[in-house]
Amino acid sequence: MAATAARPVPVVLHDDDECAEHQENRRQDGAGPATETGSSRGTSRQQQRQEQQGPSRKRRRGQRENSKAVCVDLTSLSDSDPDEVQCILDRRAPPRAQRPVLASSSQQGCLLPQQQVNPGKSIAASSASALPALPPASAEPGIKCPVCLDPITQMSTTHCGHVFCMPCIKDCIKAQKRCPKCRKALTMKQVHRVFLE
Amino acid sequence: MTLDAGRINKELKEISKDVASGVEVQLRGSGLNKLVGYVPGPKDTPYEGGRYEVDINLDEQYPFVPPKMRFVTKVWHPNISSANGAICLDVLKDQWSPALTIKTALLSLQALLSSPQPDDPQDAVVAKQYLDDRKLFERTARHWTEAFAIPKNEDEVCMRIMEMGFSKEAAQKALKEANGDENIALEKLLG
Repeated sequence: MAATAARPVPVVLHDDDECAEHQENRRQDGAGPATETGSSRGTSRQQQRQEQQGPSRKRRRGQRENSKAVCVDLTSLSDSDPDEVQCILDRRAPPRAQRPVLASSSQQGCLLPQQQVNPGKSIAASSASALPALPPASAEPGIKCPVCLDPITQMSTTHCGHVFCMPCIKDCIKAQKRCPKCRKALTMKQVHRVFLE
Repeated sequence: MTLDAGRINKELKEISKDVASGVEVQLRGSGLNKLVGYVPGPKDTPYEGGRYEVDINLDEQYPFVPPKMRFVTKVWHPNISSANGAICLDVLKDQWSPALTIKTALLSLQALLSSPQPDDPQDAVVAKQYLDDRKLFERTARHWTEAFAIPKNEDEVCMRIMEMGFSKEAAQKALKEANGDENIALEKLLG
């Protein structure tokens, strides 16, 4: 636990599929004591696990549901394995029993680090392909300013989070002192440039 | 500041592409600042079937000031003047935002037709009738819709008058004298 807790967890994923895989791989590597982490929807792995799971499964599942957010640590790679990724369960994930893919059987689903043996799966192979592609940073020309209706120039944002051309939002504030999108009170101090590159 | 021709042209293009909304906008003359909009009367209201002409004037500061809009077609509605078509609608006044467009403003007018706000009236007489005698209000509004807002096919009107036993010539003459208004023409023929 100490080994994982010490790591920073900068990336939060909403889907825990891949995390589980990495966690498995991590476990396989013998990294640290058991943490209540990870889960998987992969049926083959579930079946495997079902066979492997012992009597303590239920108790551990309860613990797991109270555990942390699913996070994949992409920055603090271990020295021994550059592809190793830390994974912690997402608190926002619905309870396991509610997930349709797992609903058919009460036996499946709980990923227990100690009991997971995933023979022959290479860490490098899974981590490279299984990591979800983060949404690409949107290109500035693709977004249109709601004021001039042109692609945004000098992209700027307000404290309420709406995006405009800098000259457009300047004119809006001059005219109305509020956000054109949500009508929240706004001053130029609450507007700042956004640089996508 | 001069008129933002780029934005207005983009708005016109966008409105012409969107046929589903039902609203239309055309240039009134050669300039971009004088436009005419058309709003279909909303379904399940006394205005259903009507096609309402709206006069639109854009200030040089548009879109930072609201477009000036006025109903040209006569409407019986608490928030629209029955005399001159002036509109009482917040988004055309203090609630305007530069992120709104002519199309959204016309759609707001359509929404206003669906849900009158008698507590903030433009036409006090209409608002009073709306509050006191809803049935009468709806009958009046429907009558105004049929008289002024529903596009008429001249031949159809002429046929209807002829069906009442008048000759084609008499019907046409009466309609011409009544400026195409079926009711006035009938009154003339009957009177």
